[in-house]
Amino acid sequence: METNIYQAIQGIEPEMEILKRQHIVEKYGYNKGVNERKSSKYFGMLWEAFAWAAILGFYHDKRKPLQGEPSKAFKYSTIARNGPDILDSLILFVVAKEGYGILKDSGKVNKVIEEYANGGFEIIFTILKEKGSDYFGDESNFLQEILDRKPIIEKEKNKLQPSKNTEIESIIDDGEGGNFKF
Amino acid sequence: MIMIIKGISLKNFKSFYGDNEFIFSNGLNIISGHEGAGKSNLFDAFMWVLFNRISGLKKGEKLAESNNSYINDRIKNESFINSSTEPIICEVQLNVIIPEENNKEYTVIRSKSIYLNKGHEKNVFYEKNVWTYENSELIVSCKDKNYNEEEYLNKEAETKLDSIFPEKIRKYIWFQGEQLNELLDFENPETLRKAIDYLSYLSVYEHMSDIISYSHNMLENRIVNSIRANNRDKKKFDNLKQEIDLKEKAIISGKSSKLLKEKALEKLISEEDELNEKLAILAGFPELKEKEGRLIGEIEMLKEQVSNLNDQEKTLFVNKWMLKGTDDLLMKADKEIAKFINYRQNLVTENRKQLAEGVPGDQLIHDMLEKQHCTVCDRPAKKGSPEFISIKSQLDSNKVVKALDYDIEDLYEKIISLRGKPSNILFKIKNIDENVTAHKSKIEFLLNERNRKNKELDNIREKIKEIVREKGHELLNLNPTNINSTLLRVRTDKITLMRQINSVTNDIILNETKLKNLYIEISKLKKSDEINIIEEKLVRYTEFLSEVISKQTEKEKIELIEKIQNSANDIQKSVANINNIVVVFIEIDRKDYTLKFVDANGNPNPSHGAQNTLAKMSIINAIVKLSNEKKNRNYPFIADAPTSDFAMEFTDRFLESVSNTYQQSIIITKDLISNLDLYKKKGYIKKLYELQKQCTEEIALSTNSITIIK
Repeated sequence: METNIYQAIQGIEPEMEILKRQHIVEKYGYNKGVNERKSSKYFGMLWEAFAWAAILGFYHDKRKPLQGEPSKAFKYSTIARNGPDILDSLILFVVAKEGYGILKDSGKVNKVIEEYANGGFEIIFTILKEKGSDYFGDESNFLQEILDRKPIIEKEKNKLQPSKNTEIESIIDDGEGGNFKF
Repeated sequence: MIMIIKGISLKNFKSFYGDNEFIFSNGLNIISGHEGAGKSNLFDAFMWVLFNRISGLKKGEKLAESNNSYINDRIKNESFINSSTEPIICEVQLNVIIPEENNKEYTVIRSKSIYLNKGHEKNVFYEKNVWTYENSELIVSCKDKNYNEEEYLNKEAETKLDSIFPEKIRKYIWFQGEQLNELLDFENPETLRKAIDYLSYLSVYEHMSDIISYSHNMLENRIVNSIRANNRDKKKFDNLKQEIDLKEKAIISGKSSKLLKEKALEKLISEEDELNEKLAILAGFPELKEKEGRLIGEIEMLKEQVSNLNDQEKTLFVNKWMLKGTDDLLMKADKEIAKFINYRQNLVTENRKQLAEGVPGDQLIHDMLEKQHCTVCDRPAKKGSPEFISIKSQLDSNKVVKALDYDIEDLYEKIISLRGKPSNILFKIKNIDENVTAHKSKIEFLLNERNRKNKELDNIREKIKEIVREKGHELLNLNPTNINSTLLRVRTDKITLMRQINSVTNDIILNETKLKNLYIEISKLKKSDEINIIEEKLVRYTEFLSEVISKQTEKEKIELIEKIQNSANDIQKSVANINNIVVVFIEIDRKDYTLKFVDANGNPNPSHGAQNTLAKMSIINAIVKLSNEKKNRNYPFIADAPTSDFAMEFTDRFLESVSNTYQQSIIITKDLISNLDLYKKKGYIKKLYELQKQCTEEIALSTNSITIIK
C-alpha cells in the first residue's frame, strides 16, 4: 500500500501531445539529451515548462483531453526532487478541482494534471498568436505573463473561451507553411 | 614687410582627398566646420608645407620618411584595392606674396610619393610595410613682377624658407588653441620672458653691448702697452699687468664658460619644448585609455550582475512566481482536505461510541489474563492458547478506532501528507507582483546602466581610434610617466644651469670691475709726457656707451613690458567689455616677468577659464603686434581653435580685434558654425569657408568638402 499521494504519483510519467512538447516544453525548457547551452533556455528542465503550462491551465480553468500520439518526458519524481512545492501545488489544484476523492487513484490525479497542462499549452499558443510567435524569445515576457494574470474576479469576467483543435493548428501553422517556428 | 598668403592647395593630404583649394585675402579669413570636418588637418597642412611638421609627430620624427600617416586613407585604400602600380602623390602648395619686395610671389610645394609593395594583399592598407616611400620633396620658387624667377630644391629650399618664415617665430604666430598653455604659462614667468626675447628687439642691445665691450678692452690694452714702453717702475707695472692679464683671462674664460652653459641651457629648453610637445600629443590620451579600461570592467561587472539576477529570476519563477494567482485553488484544496479529515474524524467518534458498550474494560481483561479464564463466556483460557491471545487482543480496544472502511483509511494515508501544505504555499506566494516588479526594475536599471556605459565606451573607443589614426600608432608607445619624470629632471637641470650662469655672470661683472680699477691703477704709472689722448678718450666713450646701452636696455625693457601690458589690456577691454562681463587687467612685473590679474583699481582679481585664455591671447597678440611694428615685418596670423574657451560675444569681439591687429589672419574654428549667415554679414570677415565631413561607410575613409560662404 502506498503511503501518500505525493509518493504514489512519483513513479508516473505525465503524457503530453508531441506537438506541444516540441513547440513549448522543448522550445523553452532545457533538454539534457540535446547538445545546447542550458542558459539559452528560460527553463532549466523540461518539467518546468510543463508545470508552467499546467499552472496556467488550472489558473485559467482550461482543461483539455489529450489527442493523438502522446509523449513522455520525465517522471513526477523529478518534480518532487527539484520543485517539491510545485508538485504539492499541482496535486492540491487537482483536489480543488475534483474533490478529495480523486486522491484514491494517483493515475487519475495524473490524468487531470495532464489535461490542465494541455489546456495551459493552448493558452500559451493563444498568447503567442496575439503577441507574436517570438514573444517569449524576449525572456522578460515570462515575467510579464505573471504580471498580466488578473485578480480572480476580473478573470472570471473575461474567461478565455475554450479553443478548438483547428484553431490551435492554425496558431502553430501561422504563416509558416507547416514549418512550426516560435 | 608684409606677407600675404594668397592660397593653399592640398592634394591627398590627411582627410583632404584629391585636389582641394583655399584662396585667402587680406584681413580676416575664417574656416569654419564641425568637429571632425578636417579643420586641424588644414592647420597641419600649413605646418607641413612650411616646417615639415605634423601635429602628433615627435620632434625627431618630423623628417621620418617612413611616416605616411598624413597621406589620405581613401586614396591609399583605393590604390590598395585596385593593386595600382601608380604612385600616390600627397602635396601641399602655398602661395605667398611680399608686396614690398616688388610683389615677389613665393610658391612653396612640399610633396611625398608612395607605392604599393608586391604581396601587399596579405596586409591591410594602413600597415607601414605595405608601402614603399619616396623621400619627400620641397621646392621653393619665387618670381617678381618682372618675371625674374628663382628656384630652390630641398636643403636649399629649406634654408630659403627659413629666411622667409623663421621656425623660431612659428609657435607664436601659428598655433593651435590647445597649445596656448604651453606657450604662455602664467605659473612660469620664464615662458613670458622667452616669448618677449623671441619676439622683441632687446637682443639687439646685447649684441651692441658685446661689441662695445670688445672695443673697450682693445683700447685699454693699447693704452697699457704704451705705458709699459715708457714706464720707470717696471716691477709695479709688471705686477699690475700680470693681474690685468689674469683678470682678462678670467673674464674670457668666464664668458666662454657662460657661452657653453647658455648653449646647454638652450638645448635643455629645446628638450623641454620637445617633452611638452609629447605631453601635448598625449593630452588626454592616457586618461582615455584608463577610462576605457575602467568602463570595460564596469560593463563586465554589470553583465555579471544581470546574469546573476537572471539566474535568480529563473529559480524564483519556477519555484514560486509561476504559482501567482492560484490562491483560491489552494484555499479550496485546503477546505477539501479539511472536509475529508472532518468526515473521517466523525466516523472515528461514531465507532468509538459503538464499541464502548460491549467491550470489557482493561482491568477486567488483566484479571482474566491473570486467572487464565474468560469470565464473559466462563471458559478456560490457558496462557498461549488462541483464547488467551484473543482476550489479550482486547486490551486498549476502547481507545482504538477499529474496523473503519479500508478505502477511507487508504485515502487518509494519501491525503494526510497534504495537510498544512496549502497554507504553507499560500504564505510563500504572497506579494509576488511586488517582488516581480521590483526585480524587473532592478534588471531594467542594470541594463540601462550597461547600455549607457556601452555607448560611453563606443565614444571613447572612437576617440582613441581617431587620435591613434591622427597621431600615429607610435602614440601607444609614449609613456606619460616617463615623459613627466624626464621633464622634471630637465627642469631641475635647467634651474641649476640658470643659477650657474648667474654666478658666472656675477664673477664676470666682478672681474670687470676689478679690471677697471687695475687699469686706473696702471694709468697712474703713466708719465705726464705720455700721450694717449685718443685711446683715453675712446675708452671713456666706450664706458659711457656701455652705461648708456645698459640703462637703455633696462629702460626699453620696462617700456616694452609696459607697452605689452597696455596693448594686451586694450585688447582685453575691447573684447571683454560686454555687459555682465568683468574686465580683468593684466599686470606684468618689470623685473621678474611674473604676472597677476587686477581690477580697474589695481586690486588683485583672480581670473579663470575664458578670461585666462583671453589674457594669454591678448599678450601674444600684443607682443606680435609690437614686434611687427618695431621690426617692420608683418606675418600672417594662423590659429586653430583659438576661441574654443570663449562665449559667443567674446569670440565675436576677439575676431574683430584680431582683424585689427594683423594685416592678414587665418582663423580655423568650430565656434561660428551655427551662425554662419550672421558672420557672413560681418564686415571685418573678408573670406568665410565652411568645411564639412563627407561620411563614407567606413568612418576612417571619410573626406571633406569645402564650401565658400563669403
